[in-house]
Order: sequence, then C-alpha cells, then structure tokens
Amino acid sequence: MRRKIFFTILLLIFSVFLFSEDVEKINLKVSLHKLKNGLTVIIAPIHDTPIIYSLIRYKVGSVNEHVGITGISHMCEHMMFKGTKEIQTVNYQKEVPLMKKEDELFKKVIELRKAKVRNCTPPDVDRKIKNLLLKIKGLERSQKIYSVQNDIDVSTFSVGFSRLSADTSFDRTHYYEYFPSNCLEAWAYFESSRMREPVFREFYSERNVVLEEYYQTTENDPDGFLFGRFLASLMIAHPYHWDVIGWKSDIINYTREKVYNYHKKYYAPNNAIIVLVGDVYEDEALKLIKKYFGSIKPQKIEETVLTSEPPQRGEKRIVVRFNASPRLMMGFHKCQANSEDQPVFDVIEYLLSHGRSSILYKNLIGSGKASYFYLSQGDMKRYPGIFYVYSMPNEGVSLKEIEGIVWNSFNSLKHINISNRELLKAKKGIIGNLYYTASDKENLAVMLAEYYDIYGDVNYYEKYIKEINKITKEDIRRVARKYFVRDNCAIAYLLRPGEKE
Amino acid sequence: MKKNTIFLIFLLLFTYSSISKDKRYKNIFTDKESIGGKKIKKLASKELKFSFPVEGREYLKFKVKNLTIYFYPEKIFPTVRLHGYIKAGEIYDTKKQVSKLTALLLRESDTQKMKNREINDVLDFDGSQLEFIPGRDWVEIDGKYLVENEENFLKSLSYLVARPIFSEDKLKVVKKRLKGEAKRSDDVPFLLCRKLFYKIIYGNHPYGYFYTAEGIDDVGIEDVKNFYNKFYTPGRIVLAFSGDIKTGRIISALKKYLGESFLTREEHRATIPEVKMEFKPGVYICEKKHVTQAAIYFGRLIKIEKERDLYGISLFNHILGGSSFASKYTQQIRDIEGIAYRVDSKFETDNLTGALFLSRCRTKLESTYRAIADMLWIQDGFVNRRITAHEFEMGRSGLGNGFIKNFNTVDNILNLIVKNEILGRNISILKNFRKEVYNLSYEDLVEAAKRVVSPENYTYVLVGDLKEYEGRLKKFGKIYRVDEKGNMIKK
Repeated sequence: MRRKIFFTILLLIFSVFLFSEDVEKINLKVSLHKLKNGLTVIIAPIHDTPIIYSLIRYKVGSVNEHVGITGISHMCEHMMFKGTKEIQTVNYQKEVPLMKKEDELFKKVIELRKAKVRNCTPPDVDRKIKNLLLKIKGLERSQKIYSVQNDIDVSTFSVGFSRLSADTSFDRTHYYEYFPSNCLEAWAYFESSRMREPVFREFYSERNVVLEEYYQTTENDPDGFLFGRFLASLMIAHPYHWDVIGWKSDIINYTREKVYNYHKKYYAPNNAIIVLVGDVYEDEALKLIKKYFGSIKPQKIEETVLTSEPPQRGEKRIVVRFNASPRLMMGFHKCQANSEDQPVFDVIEYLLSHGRSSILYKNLIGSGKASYFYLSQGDMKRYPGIFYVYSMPNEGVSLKEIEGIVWNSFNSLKHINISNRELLKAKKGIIGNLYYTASDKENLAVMLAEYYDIYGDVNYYEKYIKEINKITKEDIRRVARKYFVRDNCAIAYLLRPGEKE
Repeated sequence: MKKNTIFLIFLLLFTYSSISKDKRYKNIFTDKESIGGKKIKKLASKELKFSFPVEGREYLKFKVKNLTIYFYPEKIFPTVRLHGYIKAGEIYDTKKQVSKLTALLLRESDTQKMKNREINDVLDFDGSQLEFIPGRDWVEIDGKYLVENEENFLKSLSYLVARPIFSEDKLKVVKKRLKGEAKRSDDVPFLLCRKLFYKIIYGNHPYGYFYTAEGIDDVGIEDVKNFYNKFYTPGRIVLAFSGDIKTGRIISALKKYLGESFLTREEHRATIPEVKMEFKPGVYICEKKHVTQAAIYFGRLIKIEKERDLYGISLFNHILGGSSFASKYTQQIRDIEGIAYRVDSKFETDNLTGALFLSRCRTKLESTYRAIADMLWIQDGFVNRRITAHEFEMGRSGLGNGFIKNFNTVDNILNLIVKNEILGRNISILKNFRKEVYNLSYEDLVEAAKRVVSPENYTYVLVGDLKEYEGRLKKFGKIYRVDEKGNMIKK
C-alpha cells in the first residue's frame, strides 16, 4: 500500500565547522516517508521518556482565504475538535437532520443580512435575525441528546493525552498533542478519523466562541488591535492583508457548508505532514499510520495565491486610537522564506534584537527609552512577508523619539561597517538556536515540518548553516539598503483617544 | 378567578424556568460514552512502562558547601539547560519590591571581575542565554548554552550571582522598565483583573503586590545591597543542569568562579510572613471604559491540612476547570453556551503559604452574570453529587495518566523534582502521585469540593464597562468599586 518514495535515515550532524574544529554529532535518526495517498510522515525517535509528541501540519492558513471568508482557516481549526461520525456522538444519524435544519435557518439569516448590507432592510430585521439565531441555538441544544460533550478531549485525556490543541497561522495550521507511547494506536485512530470524516457539530455556538476570541485578542487587546491595523496598512493586495482571525463581519457569516468545503479542499493527506517525535519506533508507527491514514483519499490541491503585493512607493503612517498607553509598530515588506535574502534577514534580526548586546536592546532598553520591544519576521514564509518592530516607550519618551531610535538602528546597518566579531556572533547565535530548537520535542517537530514544507528538504538545516556562514558584511548592507527604506515602510502609532502625537 | 389565573401563570412560569434550568445543565453531567471514546480507551489499553526517576541512577544531587546542585544527563544534543532557584522571592521582601528589583538589577549589573557589557558580549557571542526571573517565593535562573561554551557561561553566571556591583544608574533604568511593563499589563483588562484579584485576596501580604509596580520608587540602592547580602547565599540556591553535562567539570567551574568567599558566606535565618486565612467576600468592580468584554477572576484561599487534600482538590480542579477542553467549565461555558473563548480554574499550591483556588474567564459584557452563574452552578454539581460516576472515572484517569506529560523532557522532570524540594515537600508526593490519584474515591471528590466551594466567601473581581449590569451582579455579593490600583472608590 505504502509507496516509499525514499527512505533515508538521516544522521543529523549539526556542525559549527566555521568556529570549531570539533564536529559535534547527534545521534538522532530522522526518517521521511510518503504514503501512496501523498501523506508525508516524518519520524524522529528519542527514547528519553515514554512520551510522544505529534504534530500534523496542514498546508493551509489565512493566506488561502479571500474577502468574505477571512478567518475561515481558523474557524476550520476550531471545528476539528467537534468530533467525527464515531467520536463525540452516540447516534450520528439522528444528528444529521437537526444540523440540516440549523443550516436552513441560517440561510435565512444570511438573506436578511445581505439585505441589511445593501441598505434594503426589511422591517424588524434585527428581531428576525435574533429569533432565527435563537431557534438555531434551540436545535443545537436538542442535538445534545445524541452528542457527547467535548468527547475528543475527555476520551483522549483519560488515557493520558495532554496539550491537545491547534493553531492557525498565515501559511499553515498545526494540530498537536503529547501522549504516552502506549497510546500510539489510539492516536492514529483519533487523528485519522478527524482527517477523514470530521463532523462540525455545535457549529453556530463555536462561531460565537471564535467571536469571543476575536474580542479577546483584537478588540480588547491593544497589541492585537494595533497589529491588525498595521498589517492591513502595510499589505494592501496580498492575502497577508488580514490577520489570521479574520474580519468580524466575515466570522459571523460563515456557513457550515463553506467550512466543510474548505476542509475537503485542504485537509487532504497530500496536503498534510505528520511528525512524530519521542518514544516512537519507526516500523510500528508506519504500520499503524498506513492502517489508519492509508485509505484517506487525496485531493487536487492547486496554487490559489496568485496576487502579489505591488511596490509600495511611499511611506505609510497610521494612527490607531485605543484606550491604552502609547506604542509603536514599524515595519517593512520583505522577501519570502526560500529567497536568497532570507538568511541575511536572519542575521540582521539577530544583530538587531537578540541578547543585551544587540543594537535595539542597547538603544531602546539599555538607554532607558523603552520598557519593551520585540522584532519579528511574522510567521509568513510561503510568500513575501514583513519584518517589523514593536516598542512601548517609557514615561516621558515620545513615540517620535522611539521611531527615530528605530530608524537610526536600521540605518546603522546600511552605513556602519559592523565588526567581524559582531557578524560572527550573529552566525554563532543562529546556529546555537538551531540546537536549542532541536533539543525540544515540540520545536523539533515544527522545525522538521517547516523544513519539508517550505524548503522541500527535511535536512534543510545543512544548507541553511552553509548559507548563514557565507553571509558577508556587504550582504547586510545590501539587504538593509534595499528593504529598510521609507518607501517600503509603514509606521503605526497607537494613542489614546484625543492624545496628541 | 383573576387571582387564580395569575397564580396559574406564575406557577407555569416557575415550572418552566425550573425545567429549563435543569435542561440547561442536563447535558453537562452525563454518563454517555461515544463509540469513538470506547475505541480510544480500548486501543490505549496496553500497559505503559513508566517508572519514576531515581536519584543516583537517572539524576544526581551534589552539595558544594551549602550550594545544592542537581544533574540529569542526556547526551542527544550538545546543549545544557539550567534551571536554578534562589530563595529570595517577594515573600522575603524587607521593603516592598526590593526582591524584584534585586533580581532584575543583578542581570544588568557590572561585577568585580567583568563589566556587564562584557558578560553580555560573551553570552551573546556564544549564543548562550541567561535570565533571572523574579517570583513570589523565589528568583528563577533560566539558562541554556552549548556545551562547548560551558566555561564562559558558568563564569558569567557565577560573577553575576557572587560578585555584583549594584549601581544607582542601572537601578533607575530597571525601575523605569518595570513601571512601563506594569502599565502595559494594566492595558489588558484580563491582566489588570489578575493584578487586582491577588491584591484584594492577599491584602498587605507580599503576594498582594507581586503583579504591581507599587512602592518601586521607595527602594534605594542600599536596600538592594542589603537584600542581596542577606538572601543571595549558597544555602538558598539550588542549581539544576540537564543535557550534555559532565558533573565534575561543572562543579569545578562553579567552585572556581563563585569563589570560596561566596561559597562560605554566612547564612541568615529568614521567616516568611504567613498568609492569613481571611475571606474578603464581595464583588469588586474596576470600571474600564471602551472594552467589549469583562474580565473575571473569583476564588478564595484554601488551607491545606494534609497531603491527601492535595490529591482530592487537584482532582476536583481537574474535572471542574483545570483540564482545559476536557473540563466541565469549558464544556458548559465555551462549548454549550458559546460565551467565552477561555475559561478555567486553578488550584494554586506552588507557593510557600496561602494556597488559592480561583476561576477565571473573559466574556462579553452582557454575559458576565451568566458566565459566573454557570461556573457556580457547575461547582455546586460536585457538592450535590450531580457529577456522575463515569465523569469521576474519566477525570481520575485523566489526572493520573496526564501526570506523564510532566516527563516530556529530562529538563522538565528535573525541574519538577527541584521545585518540589524548594517547596519543602517530600519526593513521595511526586512518586506516589498517580497511585494516590487512582486511590481517590467518588466520596473523596465530593469532600474536596465541599472544602473548596463556598460562593459566599469568594472574592469576585471584575474589570469592564459593567455599570449597566451591576443590578444582576449584586446577587454574588456586595458591590465595591476599585480603581486600577485596587484602591476602594467611595461613592
């Protein structure tokens, strides 16, 4: 059944060869497999404790959405915890007509909302919508006679699963959990069931949960709010324009059908990567994966993102009003992760923000100007993304002053000849971080999945280390001059209502 | 006739409301089991080979004078992880906030041997990481390094811990930063709510101001020096190394760089202020305009009388709100009602005094009352035995089997062991945890719930634009208004 495209036992040899004559060897064997249906499986056995960490990466995220269904990847992630035809139910067949009825009622809600948007509001529209939603709620309650509340969690937790959760980002969605190694078959049954036949019960109440998440992370959190507005000002055409959670008006209008279609399209074995790290034996794991996942049908996955961000041509500035202390976000468009400039960005990030000797730490925190800052490349890897700084000034320091410090810090990379030691520090630091990442099961799993997904090479670290080691001071100047310019920049100030800049 | 009709209508309404109330919660306490659930259980029935790590076999413990050092070797990656604890947390404060400032200043300080700039340069050049994290009971040392850079790391750590030179200028910078961080966290209603909850619950006890920046300006450099001299002694420090370690090498480097004068420093006796078991019942509202959600924290202090209490209350907490998506809170408030994204409970015992039981969530302003009422109703379901035998079984297995998750890395295992020791607890608590949990009965669960559930003694802290909802909130207790600093606002 399983067609082994290639079976390699990769001896991961991380080496700090530029800096040390000793070549460190790590006895970690990572194997890569491909099932007939296109499912990728990566296994990294580490038998230090009787625990396995599982990560399933679906190559779908908010970048695959469009206006009208923004945030649907995230909604789909939520719905994956609502059971299957066997899990979370005592009689699935009895649930089906109730869910159909709920969906029919919601179609009426959508019709009313369409009229509202076009300003052709029928009389009493809000009351009608409210009544329809109440009826849906009533049906969802009735459905509970046949469902078992939160069974996915209760059943798996009872046998020792933990940290069962998921997260959606711009380019991908991750599902993960820890489980004791005696639960491998239970894991295979459970994860394959929800890849094959999830049931999106409790759809409408879960949508309210997503709304609560939206309120929590966006409307009532100054940092989340600022990021959403900042991103939307920096990205105008590309689907990185909206934050992963999506726009509120899209969230309230998702239909179950839309989310099912989305799932069918993207949650296919040929669009997924399974990574198992920990107390796992390759033969046993592959046998079970083949048994449970092998018959799930692949889907035709097409590239949907053809829009590219046009050149910005001019600095953008926005002011966001929020009842919170002032803060700043400032960023630039950058290349995608598999571009040759990416390793240079990584070195620049290190020089600017890693450790107390970094440029921004010294200029912002060490100088007493700011209480907090971070620099991030976002989690946008597949397409050209962003490179941005966030900072909150100390009392008596203006945002303008912080902006000036940040500009000077960026500009220093264009003009000042950084020392050999500084460059070496960044390179060593990046390679050191690779080790730290690899020594944590969760991070190792993410790293392996990402390497395969983005770079097509589970062994990508080897190439990456070579790329990092090749970087010169001239590369840093070149990239800084190319990207860190006003015409490529957006600056967002968060101020209290009525507060002056 | 008219009177009878009114009575009849009233009776019908009353009956309906009782039925609907029952209906509302009927699904939350259940014996139902799905086909899939049974399969998962069956497929996981193979016995797990697991034994608790043994000192001298899996991990080692050494004493260098009064300094305690743990080692847990694992040779997969050329990295070492350090978790350290200095018993110099907020609870030992000789002046408000002095512990926090000392810990933060320590990392920024020059030393008698190296400038701070040089230390940072060495650590960053090697790709090493080192932080001192202030806490309520201890200061945590968090570090990692590549084994080839061990000497530099241990030198930097030792110089900072044993030979700091505290300066007024750096204290100013640290104070500014702390104030800024406090402001940033006050901007988020949920974090503001947490701050106020601890402040009200613990009152003047040091635990009460941990999340605040109050009193920072009153701490001078001499206060920091005195605090450091009293509490940064080897007998109060525990270091735990895991990863690619050679014990002899680490011990000799620590001896060399900490130096004899530090390792033989005089130990001072320190007593901790006990938390008074007082209740502060009432609904404390901090009004925050322009927010669309309310942040909710409520709970009470708990007296732990015997070890067995820990297991019973842990199980109660696990089923109630401590087991994330499997908990009754999440099932009802998030998944049935759809009124919160996160809701949970916490049984806080990782402190030297004053264990705490709390519940918390964020919800739309208009569902604040409902969220609290639902949480209280669920709590009552344990006391009044609506929780089913099946749910008890599932929860007990979940807590017992889930304990394994603490063993996902050797670093976590060692940290668990060391933290247990710092809390003055016997290792048997960890060794026997699973066995003790499996021995708990349904009656133990009910008893634990009875010990904890006491809505009339709860302190409810709410942050949000809640003025128009106060009428209903009164049902939970007397309303008090507090400002963002936790001061009572008089009408």
